[in-house]
Formats: sequence, C-alpha cells, structure tokens
Amino acid sequence: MDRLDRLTQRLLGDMDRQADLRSDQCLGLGLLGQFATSGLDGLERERVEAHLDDCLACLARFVELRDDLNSIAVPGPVSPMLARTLDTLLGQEPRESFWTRPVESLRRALVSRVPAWAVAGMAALMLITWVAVYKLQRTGPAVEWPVEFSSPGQLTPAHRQLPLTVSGVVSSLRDATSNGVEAHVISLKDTSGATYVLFAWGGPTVKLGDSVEIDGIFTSAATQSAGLPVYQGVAIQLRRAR
Amino acid sequence: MPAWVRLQPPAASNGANGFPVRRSPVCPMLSAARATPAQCGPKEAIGADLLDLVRRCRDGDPNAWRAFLPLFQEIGSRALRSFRFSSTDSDDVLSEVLTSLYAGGLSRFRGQTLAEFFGFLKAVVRNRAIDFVKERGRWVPTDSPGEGSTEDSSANSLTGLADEECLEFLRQEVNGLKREDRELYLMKARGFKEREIAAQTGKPPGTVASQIARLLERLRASLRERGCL
Repeated sequence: MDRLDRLTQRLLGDMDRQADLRSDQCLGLGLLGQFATSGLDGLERERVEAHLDDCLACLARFVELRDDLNSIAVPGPVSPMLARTLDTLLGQEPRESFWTRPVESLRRALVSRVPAWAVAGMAALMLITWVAVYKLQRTGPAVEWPVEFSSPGQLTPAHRQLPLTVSGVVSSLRDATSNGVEAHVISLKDTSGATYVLFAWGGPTVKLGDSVEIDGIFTSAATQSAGLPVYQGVAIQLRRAR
Repeated sequence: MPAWVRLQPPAASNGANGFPVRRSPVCPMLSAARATPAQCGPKEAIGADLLDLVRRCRDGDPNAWRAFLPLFQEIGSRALRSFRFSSTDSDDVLSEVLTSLYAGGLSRFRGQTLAEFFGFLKAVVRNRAIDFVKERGRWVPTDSPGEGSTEDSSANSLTGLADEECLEFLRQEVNGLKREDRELYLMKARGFKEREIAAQTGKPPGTVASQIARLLERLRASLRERGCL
C-alpha cells in the first residue's frame, strides 16, 4: 500500500464522518436513495445533481448506494454455508448428508486459514530449492572414478586372472546353493598333486572319483605358500575326460 | 404507506449522472430459490419492497428470510470489501451476522428508507468483521473508524510534507476532477473490482482499467510535485 492508497483511505474515512456529521448540509440517505432509483423529478433532481457536483462526501455515498441497488437487482447465488446457517436457524435439517459436514469442515480448515499467496510462495520455494540442489549436485567437483565405465575394454580386475584348462580327479563336491541360486564347489587333484578348487554354477554333473577337464578362470597366486599348491577359480565349462 | 424507497423500472436509458443503472426485470426481492411465484405477482414483480421483506422477516416469516438471504449476502459482501477476506472468512462473518439478525438484531433497525437499511446492515457487518479480525489478530482495514494506519508516521519521516497537508491537497485534486473521474476514483477507493465498475459505467473493463490507471498516475504525479510522494 503506497502513500496515495493510505491518503485515499483517510480521505474516505473523513468523508464518511463528514457525511454523518453535516447532516444539515449533506444530502440524507433517503434523498440519495430516491435519486439513485430515479425517484426525483425536476428541481429536486437538479438540486441533488448540483450538490453531488460539489460535495465529494455525498458523491462517495451515492456511488456506494448505487452499487448496493444494482447488487440487489441481480443477486448472485447464495453460498452453501449461508443457506445452511439459515436452514439451521429456521429449524430445518440441512439438506446435505451426514458426511458432507466433516468434509466441509476439513476443507475449510485446510483452505481458508492459509492465504493462497503463502501456498504459492511455499511451492515456489520448494521448487527453487530442489532445482538449486539438483544443479549443485550436477556442477560439483568431478568425482574420480577408478573405472571408466564408458569403455568396458578398459576394465581391470582387482586380481590378475588366468583362463586355464585343468584336468584331474574329482576329490570333493560341496553344495554352495545360496538364496535360491544353485551352485556347487568342486575340487580336483591333478597328476602333480596340485589341488584346484572351483566354484561352478548349477548342480553337480560329475561325482567323486570322476576324471574331468575344466575350463576355468583362476586367480594368479596359490592360496598357500608351503606344501602342495592349491588354486582357486570359477569353472566355466566342465566335461568328463576321455 | 410508509415512505420507503421502491425499486423502479428503468425510466430512461441512463440513471443519475449519465451512468446506466442496471435493474432486473424480475421481482428481485423474491428471487430466492424457494419463494413461491404467487408472492411475486405482476404488480409486485418490480415494486416488491425490501423494507416490506424486512418487516416480514421480523414477523418470523421463513419465506421472507429465504428471499432476504441473497440480498443480505450481496450487501454484506460489499461491506466486507475493504477487509480482503477469503470467501470462507466472509461466509463466517456473514453467517454470524445472519444469526444475530435472526435472533432479534433486525428489530433494531428503525429507519424508513432502503438506503438507511443498507447503512444499518453494512454497519452491523463491518462491526462484526472488525471483531473477527481482532479475534484472529489479523489486518484491520485502515478506513475503519478508529483503526488508523501506524505506517503514517514513518511516511512523514520519508517525505517532506505532513499527512494533513497532503490529505488536503489530495482532496483538492480529487475535487478538481471531472465528475466521471471522481466517481471512478471513489469506486476504486471503495474496493470495487474493475468488472463491477464496468457494470456501473457501461464501459468495457479494459477501458475502465486504463482510465483508472491514467487517473491514479495523474494523482500520483500531482502529489509527487507537491512533495507528498
């Protein structure tokens, strides 16, 4: 509200008081009402016109009165709440079913007490915050990833892996099924006495004592430094030796 | 017959001061949904009288209350313009006023004219609205009697002239306007919406908006020249 608005409101207040106090000089409401409804003729009408040309207070009242008259000539639809209030006053049951009342109460509690500008402002603030956070995350310092995912050819394993085919006799079979995924661990010994422990998907297709050949991927180092070596890996293909 | 004011059919194309006055061809007082057509016969169709309706309301006629309700809402909502309430808050205030009128408040009206009744009704509604904002600790309109703005003193320190001088200058400026512009200024100051002003003046809302904008700019320029802004 700028100063013109404030001055205008004071001016209106002054005029209202003036119209109340100077009843001998200002036009009465009754006369203004007759004038507004074209109920005056001739000299009386001219006198009122002349007075309205000179008196701002009476003109303000006339403008308001004319608006009131126009409003009752074509009244708008009655608000449901007022209609309900009158029904209650007249001792009649509201027309709404029993559940519309709590719904209406809830609507009024949610809708009426928070100004629309506050809701819009809050929504805008949340949107701006989200956008800012999103932008900050995107434009922050680049994270050094250990692997360039865009070119799988550059993937490097944590341990050196050796694809190898080994052959030997199955020395043990253990079930390694977990969480519904069927797997087993197979051990075999070759002619040199070295042991290979391999993880294999699915159920075992060989049994203890079978001679087999296994294509697998092995880790580079043996798991122990003394005695016969033990190698471990993952079986890719398993077949019986001929 | 009491000297009440009756709504007349349009006597001429224009109302007072050249602006057209909009009037309904139907019986306006009994246009509420549940009023019976018999109550709004041919002779009463236009001359049906709000004061007569008020008398019937005081006598406890339910149909009269139903017919009174839309008129009460129109006048009441106009009285609440300067409070800038939400529609729900307006409904709250008007419901409370309606209840108090029904409980006997309407009997306190002693006037004899429609204009006096409007004044009475608006005073009741505004008083209840002031209580409402005080209860809620909300903004109170500055044009309410005794509720002057506290920002005026700060305005004084920012500008060269005191409010009283500027107020007098504004009064002179408004008095110097053409009658049509004076009415536009007053309608705007009373919080009329542009479409309402357009309905009163018979001009398109866009024309009204630009006329008002030019008018206010002129007033601001004059006040600025005098050191009031």
